[in-house]
Amino acid sequence: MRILFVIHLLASFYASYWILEKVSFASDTAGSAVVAFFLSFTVIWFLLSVFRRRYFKLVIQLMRLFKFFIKDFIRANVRLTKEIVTPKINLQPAVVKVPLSLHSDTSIMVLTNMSNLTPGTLVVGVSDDKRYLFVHTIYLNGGTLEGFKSYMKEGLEKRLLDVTALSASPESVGASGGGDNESIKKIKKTKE
Amino acid sequence: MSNVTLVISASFVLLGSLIMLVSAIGLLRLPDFYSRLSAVTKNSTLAVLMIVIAAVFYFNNIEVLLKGLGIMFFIALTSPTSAYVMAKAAIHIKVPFWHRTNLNDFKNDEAEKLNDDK
Repeated sequence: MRILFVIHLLASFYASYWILEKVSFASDTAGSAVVAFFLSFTVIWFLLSVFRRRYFKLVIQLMRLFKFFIKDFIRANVRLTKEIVTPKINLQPAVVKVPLSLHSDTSIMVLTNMSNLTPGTLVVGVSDDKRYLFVHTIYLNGGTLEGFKSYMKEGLEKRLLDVTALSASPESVGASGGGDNESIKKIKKTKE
Repeated sequence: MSNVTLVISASFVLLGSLIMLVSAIGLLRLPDFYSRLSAVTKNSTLAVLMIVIAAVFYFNNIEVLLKGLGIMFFIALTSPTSAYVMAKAAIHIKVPFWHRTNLNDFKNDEAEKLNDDK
């Protein structure tokens, strides 16, 4: 599935290049390049989803994750700017130990990078067994540690889980060798 | 070049530099190392992205668009990673938290465990 997404991106790049070269009324500006890219992206997306039905859902989940992330990023900036410009600082910082339900290295990296850019949170460390994330937050949402944990779980992590559940096809789990949940279980079984 | 793209790119540059200024003020005003770090990563990333978008609007051709997309992608990838590495280093040498920080979930033994790399 991941390889399919890379092929999809490259093919739509090539198609948009082709559109800009051959079609006479497409001008050389940045706007027309963006329009051509999105046009070829959607066309190839529908073509691919004829062959693989799950791929259609995967792209939709990726878009939802991206939309949520952009919205949170803008909200974070507005909130911090308000905090800095107004004269009185009322922060409520805390360090929270958030349990993770993602276990592969790549998804933890993506989650860490994204939550470093969303409101008030800064990842301070990952525990050795990759089961907890230590998050320093400026605003303790809901006032309690439990409320913040559920906020992390309902927000980014749930959407990331949707993506990873779709992107791991049964063949690639065996081939990737470590990372995903099921492959770790398989390795443990063979060791025993 | 039309006037519309000029106005759009000028307003993007203005907004980006204002956000950069706010993040510089926040670096001075916020109480401790960790909150300063989080202020700097978020605001300055958005500001740099806005200035790159303004450059794309100003030149308005495909080469600048591709280069701008590359710059935006790599800045959005590396800036939070470097913030994470700095925060981990600060935990390692025990930079003190602000006195009002809620540390119930982060007791000493867990901090020690996080420091035990070897």
